[in-house]
Amino acid sequence: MAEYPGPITTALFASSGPLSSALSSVGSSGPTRKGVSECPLTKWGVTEITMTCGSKTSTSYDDPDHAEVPGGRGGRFFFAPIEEKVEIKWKLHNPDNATTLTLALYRSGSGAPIWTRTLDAEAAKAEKLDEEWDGSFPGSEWASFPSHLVTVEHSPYMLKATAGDNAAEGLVERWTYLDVIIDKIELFWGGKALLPVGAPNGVDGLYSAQTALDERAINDELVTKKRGDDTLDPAATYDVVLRCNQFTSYVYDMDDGHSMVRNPLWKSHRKQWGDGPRIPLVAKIHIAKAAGGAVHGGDAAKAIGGTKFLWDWESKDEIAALGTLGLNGSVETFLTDSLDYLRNAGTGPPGSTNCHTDHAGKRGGADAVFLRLNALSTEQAACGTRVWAAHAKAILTGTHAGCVGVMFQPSRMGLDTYAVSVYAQPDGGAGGAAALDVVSPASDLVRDYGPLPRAKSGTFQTLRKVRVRYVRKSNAVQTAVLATIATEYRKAGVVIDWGATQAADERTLATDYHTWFGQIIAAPGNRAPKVTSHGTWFEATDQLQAGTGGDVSYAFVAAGWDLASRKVKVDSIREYVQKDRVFNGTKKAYDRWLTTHAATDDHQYLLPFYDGLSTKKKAKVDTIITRRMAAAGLSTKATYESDVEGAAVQLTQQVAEKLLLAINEHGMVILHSEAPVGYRQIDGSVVVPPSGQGGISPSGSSQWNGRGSVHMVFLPQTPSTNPAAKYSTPVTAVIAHEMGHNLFLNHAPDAPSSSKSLHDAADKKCILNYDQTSDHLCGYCHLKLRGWATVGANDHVTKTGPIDGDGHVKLWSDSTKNKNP
Amino acid sequence: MTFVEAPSGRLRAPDAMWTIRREQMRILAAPFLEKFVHRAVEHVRAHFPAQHAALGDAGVRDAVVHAIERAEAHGLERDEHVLAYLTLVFVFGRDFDRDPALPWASEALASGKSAAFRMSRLRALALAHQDAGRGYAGGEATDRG
Repeated sequence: MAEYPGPITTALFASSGPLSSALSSVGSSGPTRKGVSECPLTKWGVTEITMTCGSKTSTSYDDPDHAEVPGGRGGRFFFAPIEEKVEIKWKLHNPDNATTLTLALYRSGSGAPIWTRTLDAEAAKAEKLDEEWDGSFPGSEWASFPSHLVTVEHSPYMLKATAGDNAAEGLVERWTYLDVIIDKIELFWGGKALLPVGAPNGVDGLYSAQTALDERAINDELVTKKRGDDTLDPAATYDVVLRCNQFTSYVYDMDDGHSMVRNPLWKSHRKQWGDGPRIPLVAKIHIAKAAGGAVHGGDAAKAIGGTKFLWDWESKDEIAALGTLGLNGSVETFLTDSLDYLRNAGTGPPGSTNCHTDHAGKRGGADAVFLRLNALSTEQAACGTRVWAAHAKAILTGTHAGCVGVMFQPSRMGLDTYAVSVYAQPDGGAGGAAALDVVSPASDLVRDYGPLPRAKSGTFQTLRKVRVRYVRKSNAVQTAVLATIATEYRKAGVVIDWGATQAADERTLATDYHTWFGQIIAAPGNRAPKVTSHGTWFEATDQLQAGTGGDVSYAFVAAGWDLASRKVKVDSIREYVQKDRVFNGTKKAYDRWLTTHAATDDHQYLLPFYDGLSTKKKAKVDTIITRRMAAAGLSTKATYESDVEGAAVQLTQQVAEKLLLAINEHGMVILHSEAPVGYRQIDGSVVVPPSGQGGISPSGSSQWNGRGSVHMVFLPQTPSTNPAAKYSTPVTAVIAHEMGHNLFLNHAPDAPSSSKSLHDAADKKCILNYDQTSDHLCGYCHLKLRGWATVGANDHVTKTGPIDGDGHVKLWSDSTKNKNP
Repeated sequence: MTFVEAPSGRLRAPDAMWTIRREQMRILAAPFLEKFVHRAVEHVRAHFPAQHAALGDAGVRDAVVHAIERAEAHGLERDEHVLAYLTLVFVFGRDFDRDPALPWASEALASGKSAAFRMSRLRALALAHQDAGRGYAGGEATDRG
């Protein structure tokens, strides 16, 4: 439609039945069937009918074939019912001979008058209605027009005057047109007050209370993003940030298709956010006034009538924008293929790349993006053809009179985008309700129906936010480049919230480290068996000297091999000496030795004592040493250090979990030391071994009831200069890798226990593998992190029906299979 | 010759020096009535062809005579009033004036106003309620366009 309101022709008011033409053809004559003729009377008739409001007067018509009345406000008569008053006047030819004059009001699209009034001769001769008209008439005069008021819904209207008996040919009818039009629509935030109690549909009971709070917080954040007049800015971008602290607590949950899987990422995400966050939107409707300007709300809102308002959404063409995002080429290819899925099936906005319902998104599915907002609409229904859109009717009375609202509910999927438009779709003329209910891009609606009153929001983009606490063992630990990690995950729609608590968290760690150490050593539990077997080698204190100038980058200090071995030796000598034997010469020698040596430590006198023993006695001591060394796991230096390092890792894990409890917030905790253990040497110095470094994730933190997840990394930021070294990767990459595990991503193909089908088969550089040069998340990981369901028994070609009750299709590691079929 | 209605209610020919009784007038007017009935049947044929075909000429004549009787019973004398009334018979039913489903019709006819006013009102209301029409016999509305 080129203009609003649309053009007018008499065809808009044409009758579909024979009645009108049959009545018009009966002519005017006396009772001739009785052979009786009337005295010839002077004919009369109506020559004009007009309406006037302020300085505007309508045009009177007499020719059913008159030229089309052009669209647009320029030459049209419109007014704001109730708000403004109209004078209805007509002119008669030979008024003294008038008999009756019938006024009839027609709505657009119907040949049956909706209101009629028959005036007797005296009233007709007055040539005007004796009362000013505000768009309403007494209820008894209306026929099948419940509003009893002219409204936008059925505009334009035709007011016709018909002369009764003895009207002269050509002076029987005159008519004029009027419009009730919407001046403008403005779109506002509805705010959290319009949210119903409780969480959105589909949210698991575990999350419902928090999700409801988070949903309100989202709305609080959004309502700050408005223009000076409080309306929404179509050029704005709104991040709908969903708090998503869901972490792997069961190893098989990283492997979506595994028979042991319980709650993979997409299901966990669904449990927390269900059908998506709800965002109330309110459109204010203004009725154009004849005097200029417009009126909103109050009694004048009744003039909106049953006008339908179309709520529509569109999304960005993400494929077209991929090239601008700095993605790895493989990722771009994978996403280009996969986002193309069923883009033009007619069940979603044409070209939309939002997550399809077959991958648990909303595009193309039955889950509505527009829910009814009861306080802000009298009714709402999905469109019949433009199935992703909905139409609603406005509130006409009360606090919200003149408004129509909707509960916008975007999907929970990361990086899905929505721009919401609301169109008025009055029934009358071109561009009516049916015209908008078509499958076409939003841009085509604007092109074809641009003059219709409408308003548009900015672009909403869903993001998933994860709280991550990064805690270094002490200030001596080189800081990972957190921004690099955040940037990579943001590309996949995940916002890493590092917060501003790192220093406080490190203080908490420093304060409680020794206490936690003592508790863990005392009761390691079955999750720390190496602490049970090797905990005795750890030094009880001085594990952390934060703030004392003696910061350490390792997690714990344990006795080095030489120190540990010597202790065994001393204990063995003591055992030999203390043995109950007849005439214990060794004991006597030992006692004499004590009287001549002032050393306080066993090793300072027992080892020399041992050196002075005879070969035979030494052999006996050696036997004891061997036995004790085996019992203590000190068979070899390598096994000792391996076990101690394992114990240190388990200790760190336990400390990290206690830290998690101390922080007491849903989120992920990364505890960073550059090494799990430092070895105390005989001279008192501490040596950090070059091996045994890396990352470990996730912890078995499911026992913390979803409070969070922890992992530890033992690496310096500056990697080994030897690229072939096992741990030459900077800690930043390792943290990104371990965070991936915490976020349900399994190893990529060249790493142990990988899930080849859950990564891009063509991308060998996913950071979830062990390739030291990997630097990005693969495309498959991207879509998993967005919250896509990626596993189904069938693909889109062979899909035959619901799968596991979810109806999803497989996301192939070969992205060419994910293309639009 | 045509006659005009005298103030007394009797009929007289223009410039006539004598008056005649109503029964005499009916006899004299028979050819005019027949001519009107023919006109009315043609009106039905033109605007309600399907119903005309279904009823046949005899049936339509019967309907026309019925309409004339009912219109006159309501004080509608003028030919165009009777034809309009006949039109409503073919849109809303043979006894639309007594149909409880069409209260607007009986109210308009019984308003106590002049025949011209009542007919204008009836026409206006009929147009407003035309979607309620079910045809002469109340069956299929084959002439509803």
